[in-house]
Amino acid sequence: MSAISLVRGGLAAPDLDALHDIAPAVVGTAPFGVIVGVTAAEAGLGLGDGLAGSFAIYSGSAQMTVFALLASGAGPVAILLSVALTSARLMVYSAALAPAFRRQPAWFRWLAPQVIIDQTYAIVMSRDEVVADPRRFRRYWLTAGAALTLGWFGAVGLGVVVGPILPPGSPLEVAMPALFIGLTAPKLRDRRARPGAVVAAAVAAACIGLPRGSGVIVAIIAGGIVAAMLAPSNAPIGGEETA
Amino acid sequence: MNALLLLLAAGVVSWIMRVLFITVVPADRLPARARHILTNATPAVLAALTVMLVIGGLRGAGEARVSHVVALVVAVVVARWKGNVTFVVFAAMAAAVVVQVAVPHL
Repeated sequence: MSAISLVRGGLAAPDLDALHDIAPAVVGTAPFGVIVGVTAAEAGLGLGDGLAGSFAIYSGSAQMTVFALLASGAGPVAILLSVALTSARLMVYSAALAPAFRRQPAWFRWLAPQVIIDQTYAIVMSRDEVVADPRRFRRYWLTAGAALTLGWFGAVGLGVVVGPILPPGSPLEVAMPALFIGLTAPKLRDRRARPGAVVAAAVAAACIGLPRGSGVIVAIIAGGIVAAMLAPSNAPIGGEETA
Repeated sequence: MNALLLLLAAGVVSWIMRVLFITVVPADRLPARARHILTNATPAVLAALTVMLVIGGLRGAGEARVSHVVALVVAVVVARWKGNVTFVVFAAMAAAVVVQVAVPHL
C-alpha cells in the first residue's frame, strides 16, 4: 500500500474536500507568511513570540498592523484599537457563518471560530452541502483550519528565523509599506469603501506627528465616521453583499 | 506593555470578533448599516496605516530614499494591476534592488 493510499485510508471525504479546497490558500499565503515573519523579527520579536502572535491573532493584516505600530512606538491603546478595526470584517464573516456553527457542540462554537479568515470563509461559503451537514462541516472546518495553521506557522517561522540575518538597508525595508499598499488597493475597488479610506489616509498624513501613534487613531475614527455616514438603511445579512 | 502580552491581547480582541455573532450574540439579522461600517472600517484602517508607513519609511530611508520611492510607486502600480499581495511585495522589492544596483550612489 502506497503512502498516499495510507494517508487517504485515514481521511474521510470531508477531510479530502477540505485539503483540496484549502491547498491553494496554504500555498498562496506562504510568501505573505514569510514576510510577516521577517517583519516580526524587524519589530524585535523572537520565534516564540512570532508564532504565539500568529496563533493568537491568526490574521496576516492584523499581525502586520501590530508589528508596524510596535516598530513605530505606538501605545497599547492605538495598537489594540487598530487591530479591532482591522479585524472588524471578521464579525461580518462570523455573522454569515453563524448558521453553520449553530448546531455544533459548545467547544467547537467557542474555539473553532479562531480560524475564521478570508480564505476559510470563502471556501466554506462555496460548499452548501458541507454547511448543511453539522458533522461534515465540523470535520471539514477542523481539517482546513489545521492545514492552514501548519502552513502559516511554517511560513511565519521561516521569516522570523531568516529576518535577523538579512543585511541592513535590504530591499525588505520596503516590504511592509508595499504589503499595506497591496492589502489596501483591492479594497478600494469597492467605491463604497473609498470615502472612509481617503479621509483616513488624509487625516493620517496630517496627524503623523502626534505622539505614540495617536494620529492613526484620529485617522481611523475620522474614516469610520465617514463610512458610518454613508452607510445604507437596514437590511438583513446574508444577501449578495455579504462577501 | 510587553510585546508578547500585547500580541496576546490583540489575539483576544480578534477572537472576540470571531465568536461574537456565533457564540455570544446569536445575531441572525445584522443591520445593513452595521455591516457596512464593519466592512468599510478595514479599508479606512489599512489606508491610515499605509500612509503612516509610507511617510515613516521615506523619513527613515536616508540614502536609500530614491529606491524606496521607486519601489513604492511600483507597488501602487502593481497593486492596481494585480490584486495579489505577495506579487506586489516582491515587485516592490525587486524594483528597490534594481535601482540600488543600477544607480548605487542614490
